[in-house]
Amino acid sequence: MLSKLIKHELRATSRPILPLGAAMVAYALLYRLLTALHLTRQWPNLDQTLAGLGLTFFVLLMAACGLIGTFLLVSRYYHSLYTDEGYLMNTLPVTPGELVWSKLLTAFLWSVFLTLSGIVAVLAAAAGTATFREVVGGLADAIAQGWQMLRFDPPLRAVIVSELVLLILLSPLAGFLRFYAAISLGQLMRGHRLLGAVACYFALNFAFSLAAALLMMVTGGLGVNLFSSVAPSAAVAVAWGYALGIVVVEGVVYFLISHWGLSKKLELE
Amino acid sequence: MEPVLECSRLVKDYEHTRALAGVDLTLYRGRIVGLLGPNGSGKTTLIKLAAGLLQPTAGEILVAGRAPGRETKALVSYLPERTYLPDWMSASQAVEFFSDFYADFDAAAAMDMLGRLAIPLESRFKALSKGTREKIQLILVMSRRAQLYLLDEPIGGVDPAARDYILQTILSNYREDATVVISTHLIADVEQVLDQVIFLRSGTVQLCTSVDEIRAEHGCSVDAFFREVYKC
Repeated sequence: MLSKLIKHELRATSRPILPLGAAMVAYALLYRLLTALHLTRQWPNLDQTLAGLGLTFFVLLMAACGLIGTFLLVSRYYHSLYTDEGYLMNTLPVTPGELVWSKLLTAFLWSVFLTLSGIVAVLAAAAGTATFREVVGGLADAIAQGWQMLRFDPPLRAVIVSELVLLILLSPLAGFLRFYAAISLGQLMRGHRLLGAVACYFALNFAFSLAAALLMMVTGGLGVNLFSSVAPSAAVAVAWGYALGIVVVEGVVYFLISHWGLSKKLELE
Repeated sequence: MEPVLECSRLVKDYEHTRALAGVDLTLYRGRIVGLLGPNGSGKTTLIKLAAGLLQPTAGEILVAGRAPGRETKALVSYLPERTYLPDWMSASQAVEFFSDFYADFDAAAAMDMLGRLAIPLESRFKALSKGTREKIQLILVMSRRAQLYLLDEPIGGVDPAARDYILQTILSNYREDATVVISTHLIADVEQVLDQVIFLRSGTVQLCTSVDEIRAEHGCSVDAFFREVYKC
């Protein structure tokens, strides 16, 4: 049933999300075309102003698409499970866990799509320019240097790369789950459910930041000893492992809250 | 015979009100049951509890012997009092949606009924009238071969001609071993299809009896008896 839920969830969310990715890439191509044609080269002041405005708008567009996409994916959870559409979704013969997973995996897939669209847009806008070559060259150097640092210890290198990949994959999942958990807790506040969800989001954020800070204080001495006694690369592995652990714990707690909200506290008005 | 719906000392509280105050009720298979009562008597709450959309405050509700959950949702076909299909969906997509999730959904029967009403299959719901959307929902719900149909005000907002169509659809589509629970204020319109009635008042079951018994004992229609019982 999970695959069917994801199929219909992708269909439901594709209409608002696909145009966001298309808008970023289309604007980038237009921007690159206009800068290549250089139509205003005879008026240097106007030329620079237009180039600046075009770039500023591009950055704003990228940020707006990211924010709107996140908002649409988060609000989808609320609308499809806790409003009129909830009468359809919550009477399907599926488990609450399958409902949460379907929303989460769909949101993750769309966030990957938006990220890739953003990368393609940047590459398209900068392709062939000197800046592009500098940025790509700088990035390649940074990766090569990082790899060089880890060359003496292949097992540790595998650990660090694994941690990095897992952090990149799990952080957005935990981020979406935090929104879902806040929405679920907000449902407990009759009459002010959306306001309650916003308050719960900040409360969850604060609670986990506080817990992480307290844990850091408790284990701080251990960390100092570790950093002074082992190689820097090992210390990086420990630090990233710590961050990964926090993300995993956060994700599990938020998932359990979201599941509990659908299985034990569902109260459709 | 195994009951299809059982409520035992079922209580449901909202923030400031008690919607159900200890409902004891057993419904068996093969009946069309009218769930009747004035506004605020707890009809919708009882149906939503059976559909698994609300959690009981106290007591127990069982559908085919199980607490509402994934298994019972496969047995229950629920029509809410509101339009619940998303605006972006079309009738053909809704048929595909129901086919994907309900093993007992008869897509051919649904398409046949949609075709006979000349409902555009590819138009998005937001482009259709409220009445058309309600008919599509009813067709989807009644195209399932469910064990328990929960129909909350299925004829509330439609014209008399559409009421006849809806009642005919219910009668011609439900399985004989299934139970249909119809919640409504429009008793005169549904009376001819009912086998049994439940009168709710202030969250309690005031009466649960057969339509024939009401007619025999009181010498009047269910509608007239209802008006007498709930006279203001």
